[in-house]
Formats: sequence, structure tokens, C-alpha cells
Amino acid sequence: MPADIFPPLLDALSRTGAAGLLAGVPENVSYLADAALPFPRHLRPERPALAYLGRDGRRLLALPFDWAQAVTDQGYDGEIAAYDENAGPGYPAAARAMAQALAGRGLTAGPLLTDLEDAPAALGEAVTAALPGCELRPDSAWFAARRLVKTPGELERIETAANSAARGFIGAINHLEGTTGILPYTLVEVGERVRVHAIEFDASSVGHLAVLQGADGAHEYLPARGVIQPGMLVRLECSVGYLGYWTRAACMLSIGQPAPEQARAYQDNQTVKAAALAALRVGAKAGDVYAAAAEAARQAGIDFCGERGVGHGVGRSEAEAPWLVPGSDELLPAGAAVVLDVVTRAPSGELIRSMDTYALEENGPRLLSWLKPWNRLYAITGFRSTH
Amino acid sequence: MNRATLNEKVTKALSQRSLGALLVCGPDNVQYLTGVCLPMLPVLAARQPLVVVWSQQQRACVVPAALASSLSAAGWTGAVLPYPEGPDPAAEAARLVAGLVAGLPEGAPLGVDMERFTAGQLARLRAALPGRELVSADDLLRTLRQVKTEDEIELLERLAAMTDHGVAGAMHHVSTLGGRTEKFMCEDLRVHCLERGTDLAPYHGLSLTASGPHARVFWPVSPRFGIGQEKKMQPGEAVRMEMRASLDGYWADSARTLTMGQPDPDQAKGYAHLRELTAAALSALRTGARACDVYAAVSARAAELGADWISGLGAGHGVGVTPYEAPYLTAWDETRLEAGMVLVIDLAVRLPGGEILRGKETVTLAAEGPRLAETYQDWRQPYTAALTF
Repeated sequence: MPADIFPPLLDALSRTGAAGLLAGVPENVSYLADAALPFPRHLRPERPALAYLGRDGRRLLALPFDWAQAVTDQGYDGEIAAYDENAGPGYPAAARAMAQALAGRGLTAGPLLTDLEDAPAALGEAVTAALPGCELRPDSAWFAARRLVKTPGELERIETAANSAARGFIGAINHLEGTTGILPYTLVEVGERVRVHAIEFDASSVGHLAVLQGADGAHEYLPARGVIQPGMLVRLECSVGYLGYWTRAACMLSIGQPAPEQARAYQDNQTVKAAALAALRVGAKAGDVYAAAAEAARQAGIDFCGERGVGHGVGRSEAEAPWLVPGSDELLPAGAAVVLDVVTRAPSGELIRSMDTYALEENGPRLLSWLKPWNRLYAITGFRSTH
Repeated sequence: MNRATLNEKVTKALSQRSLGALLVCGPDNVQYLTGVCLPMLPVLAARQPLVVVWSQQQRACVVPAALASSLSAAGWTGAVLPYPEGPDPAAEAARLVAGLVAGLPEGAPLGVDMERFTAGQLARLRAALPGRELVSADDLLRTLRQVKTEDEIELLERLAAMTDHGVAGAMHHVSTLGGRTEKFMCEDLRVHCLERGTDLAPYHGLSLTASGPHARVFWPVSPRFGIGQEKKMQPGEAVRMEMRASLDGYWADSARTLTMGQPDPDQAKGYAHLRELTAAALSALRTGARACDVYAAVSARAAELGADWISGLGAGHGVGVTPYEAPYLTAWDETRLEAGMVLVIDLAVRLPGGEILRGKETVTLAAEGPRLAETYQDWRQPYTAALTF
């Protein structure tokens, strides 16, 4: 399942007049390498990576030496300029490694399109200092536009990630069912089981993990604490990656049969989500999807939590363009992968959240997270039977 | 964790540097200053919280509206200024920061974590703060963070002990003839740490089990970083096990060696080298020494021993709100070591067959010398798996 990004990318690059691309944003580096890096955003400023792609298709990576094997094992066949921990602070070390490698090819004049305005300012300064004669043209929007429209290979990876996330939830839920009257079952264990089951079913990475119960569920995030309690609403969230492509997922549980107001609150969320989905069309403005959800909630008197928007794109990162936020005029293109993330609030205060991942196609959004519909509040019931 | 001492330390440093205020956006620095761990922050790109600190009493967090209540519920007692979603959230955040610092004395510079702010964020800040000087506070933050308070030390040492207990607990379940997979062991590492009370550790909460040929590389079966695969651990193999566990936003970084049966001569020799190099690092770890002196001591000892030390990783690093932070026990870092630093001595050697053994020890530098964090057992020898159960 190759990502197949290079033909369209090189075609777009050929129309810019630039000699090549130079990326410092971790997801853009991964994109140009077609290889995931080990936790690059969580190890900054110590372990930055830079990627170069020339108009001729030649690639070059500057990265920590122990990552070199990680990218070649994923099929990266370009050159590598590795630096180690003794080469100095991370940003200058990466910049020097890249500059020396470019100089070795006679490629220090540019012009190079860069994404450095979205990278740490200190990294940009280090790159500029290391490439004094090179014309650097900041154009993060160009990179974002390339990543916005996915190839079929990229969508396949996102689809696998989405259904691995569902497997994670299902596995955790199956272990929880039948236990609630017997043992104190910790929220931590539920969360860990989400990770394990996602990994057992294809996931390459699990990022975010959240398990929120009762009053804690009124918030976007709190650490998982305590044990599962009867009568509660529980929200599970995770982000899952497959071969370097990510998506996010969430589902809601009631511990025991849901109270009528809990079931109603969940259906209210689905009502708003349906309105957003109806507006999720190629050619629509991103802000219109938000507006459709907000209007549906207003008409039905539903407590809509629109402060996070109603979704966003996914791909090399777990949250990227297009952003389905108020006021956005961005037009939704065919080929975008979008997580619809509609959040409402139950009368008892908990956030109600469900997410699904879609690929935008000319004839309507195609559901990528198809494995398990979460259109009803999932009730954790049953009894334990040894078998 | 009692944060009063830490807050006092930060505000004292601010006044010593004649900064009007400190403004940070890096997720690690945000957590350091707020005490609130929001593990998803690094992936939120332009939607970061920004923390402004003027004094111990005057602290504010400019935060995406969706995260505002989490911050307060998790214990942040400063002001919370939510900014809304929209086409340019970073501009909204900058506008709120401008309002916050408007009352600062004219000419008082704003210390900023330049190593974290993106150029785009800085441009928005500069547009919102015309005339206000923004200066790098990276050194200040590094200096503050690398010397821990007593409360931080207690947490880090406790977490290191929990993690070591968890790693040993996972190893107890291994038998040479049992044929467990690396994937199973990765999960057993996590589970045993969780059972000791560590938190769910998302993202870079690494658990790694690499055996035999997989142990010859740093990242086996990429891009499945640290989740293991179907390979079964085989009799005679050396197994590298690494675990990064987290509690209340602070980290432990551990690595231990398991052998599937009695270690063969190469494994025994490699492990002995690892211990000798660790001892060399500990000997050099003194207040007043430089971080690079520790590296040099390990380097010299490796040469004496003829050990195949992988020097490119350095000899260790600090640990705190991230599992890898200053000071860096590398050839270039001339930071003077001080009492209160908590470090991970992180050493790796290669066996003749190519397998990488790695050992990590958490150590607190006290005035009287280095103090190793409590371990579940004495690790002078690798853990030798039972033949069978």
C-alpha cells in the first residue's frame, strides 16, 4: 500500500519555480520521506529532522543517527545526513547536517520552498545560518495544500487506522462487559486495553488516550483516575496511526442500561452530527459544516459545544487542514480526509462526543471508520461467566 | 505535588533577569509552569496554550476554549483566558496575550521560549505587541527545569522505582522455553508499570522489547515504534527492554537486559561493560563537574575496556516533565552539574553479534554525591529468565 504521493507532489513542485523543498515541520518531513519518525513532536528541541526534495525527485534527510535505520526500514531510499548527540544542540546540528549534504550536491543556492514559519523559530534561524547563500521561500500553505488532498494509498492507510481504533474500543469494551458488578475495574485498564487491541489489529501507533467518567467527562481531558462506576457515562478517545497516517476516534458508553436522559443526550449528539454530515460536501466551505451543526443544535435546543469546531482533517498528523471551524472559507476538496467531531453536552454536564472519519468524494463523503457504527449509546451490561 | 517552591523559584528567576514577564508556548514548558499535563498538546500545532507569568500571584494561561475547563479542573489556579476556534487561532491567542502584558512597564522585555514558538506564532505576537521587546528565555527555562525542587525529586525517584519494579515484574513472567512474543512483552511492561500506579502514557510512552536480531537496531519493525511484533523470544537471546513511564506529567526512562537462559560469554562481557561504564559515569557525576566531563569519563573507560560503546547517544540526560531534557551528558554540553539535578545515565554497548544492550539508571545529584533511585533488585547481572514454569 504505497502512499503514491510523489507524482502529484513533483508535478506541483515543478510549477513553483523552486529548485526543491526544505521541510522542518515533523509531519512534512514524514510526508517527504514517506516514513514515520519516532515521536518527533515530543522530542523537540532535542531531536529535529529536516527533509529535502529536489525537482529531480532526489531526497535527503537530516536526522538523529539512530533514526536512520527506522526510515530505511520503511522503504526510504534517499540520502541520509545523520547527526548524533555529540554534534551540539539539536537545531544547529540538524541544520549543519542538512547544509553539508546540500553543499555536497552543489545545492546551496536554492530557491527552496520551506515550511519554516510553522517550525520553531530557532530551527528556522539555524537553517538560515547554515545556508547563508540559499534563497529560502517560506510557504507553509503550499505544503498544507499538498497534504490536504490525499492519494488513494494515503486514504487506505487512514482507513486502516480508523478501523484499528474501532478495534481498540471494541476490545476494551468486550473486556469490560460482565465485570462491572464484580471487580473494581480501573479507567487506566480500560484505556490500556484500547491501546492493546488497536495494536493487535494493525495499528502502528497509538497516540492520544483518554478515559473520562462522570463529572470528569465535562472536560476535554483529565488523567484517567478511579474505577468504573454503575450509572455513569464514560467517554473513550484515542488517536491511532497506521504506517505514519493518523486518525482520531471517540465513543460513549453507559455503565449499565442508560437512563432515559443519557440516551436522549446521545441521540441529540447524533442529530447534530447528522446535520454536519449533510453539509460535508466537496466544494462546500469548511465553515458551512460548522454552521450547519450549530444551526441544527439551535433549532433543537441542544447544548452544542462548538468551541472546538466540528472536525478537521487527518493524515500525517492527527489534526490538520481542513479545519471545520466557524468563519472558515476554505473550500473542501475531493480527496480530503476529515474527522467529523461533534461535541454536545448532556444535561448532567458530560461532554457527548462521537467521531467518524470520512474521505470526501464528488458524490458525497465516504465513511472510512466503517467497522463499528456508534449511532447508539453503547450500554455495558452482562454478567461474568467463566469460559 | 506541592508547587509553591517551584512557583517561587520561577518568579525569583524572573526578577533576577529583569524580565517583565515570561511567556511560554512549548507543551513541556506549559506543563512545567502550570502543573497540568495535557499530553495531546504537541500535536495541536497552532492551537497551543500560552502561559504568562509575572509573579507568583500573577499567572495566566491563554488557552484554546475547548481546553479551558480541563486546565482549571486539573489544578491550575491562575487566570484562564480562552480563545475561540477560527481561521487563525494563533492570532486570537496573541491578541489576548497583548491584553495581558499591556500593563507591564514600558521597556520591560518579555522572555519567550524561542526554541518552541514557531516563526508564525512569533510574527503574530510581534504584530500584537508593537514596541515590546521579545527576548529568548530558553536558557532561563533550561536552568530552572534542570534543577529540581524537593517535590519534583521525590516524584521522579518514586516514579523511577515504580518503573523498575514494573520492568522486573514483566521479566518475572518470562521463561526461556515459554516463547512469548515481543508484542506480549511490550504490553506486559506497560501493564506492570500501570499496576504499580503509573499513568496511562500516551504518544511517546514507549515500551520496547527487542530480542535477538531485533536487538541489533534501535527501532525494530519500524514504524511500529516500541509496540513489538510477533517475533518470539528465543533461548539464548539477549533481550533489550526499554520503558518510559509517566506519573502526574513527570517521566521515568528505563532500560534493562534480559537473557533467555544463562548469558553466553559475549552477553556477559557486554553486560559487564555496561555496568563498568555506568560506574564510570557515576564516579564523574559530581557537583561542579561539567556534563561533558561525565561523557569524557565514560569515553575514557570504554577505551580502557575495549568496549563497543555507542557514543553517539551520549552518556545520559536530564529527566523531568519530559523523558529527555537538559543537561545532556554529551561531548558538547558544558553545563555545570548542580545538586538537585535528576539524570538518567543512558548507555548502550554493542555485542559482537550486533545486539545492542542498553542500561538506564536514574540518579539524583545531591550535594554529597550521586544517589541512585531505588531499584526493585540489584542489576549487577542481567535478568536471567527461568527455563520453564
